[in-house]
Amino acid sequence: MAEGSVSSTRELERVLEDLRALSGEVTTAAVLSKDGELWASTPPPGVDRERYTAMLAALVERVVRAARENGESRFVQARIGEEGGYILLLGLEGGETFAATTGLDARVGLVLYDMRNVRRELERILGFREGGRL
Amino acid sequence: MAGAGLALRNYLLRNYLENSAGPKKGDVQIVLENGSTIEPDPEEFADIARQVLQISVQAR
Repeated sequence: MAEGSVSSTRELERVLEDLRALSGEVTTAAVLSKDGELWASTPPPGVDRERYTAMLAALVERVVRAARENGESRFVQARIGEEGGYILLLGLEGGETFAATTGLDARVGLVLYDMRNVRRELERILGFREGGRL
Repeated sequence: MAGAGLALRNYLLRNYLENSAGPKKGDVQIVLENGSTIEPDPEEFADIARQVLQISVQAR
């Protein structure tokens, strides 16, 4: 992995940790590339990252498919509520996905608000990463 | 001055969102680029969503 990628991954993880500190209802947060590759995430050691990434990527794929079936190639935001909590997704400018999970009692509107507030910061870091300027 | 106004706006919005009711479980809502909102069948997402949430709980 290039040095720039490592440092941008650290920056992404710092922003995700800041989100978790700001919004205590966020259990995990992650950034996935357009191709479903995990670029940064907050789950600590012990959590099955590979499985987490694969499941999250499959979920994003279904959301994108639903968007395509409705004539759009991308989505802006998705909220999936299930037994155990919520998965919240924000589409980023370059086609990446910003994901967060919460418990069932979370104030989802507030978490989405906090996610939207950090989105620009993530896009700035990803812009540097893709532009190879790091 | 503008900064104080923005801070107040953010404070009020945050307060409103903190007190607003959340969505129900078993629902899927997607906002598209054209601004429209779709609600696909939650069954298509349920199994994978449950697995993601199970893994996420380990992170607590």
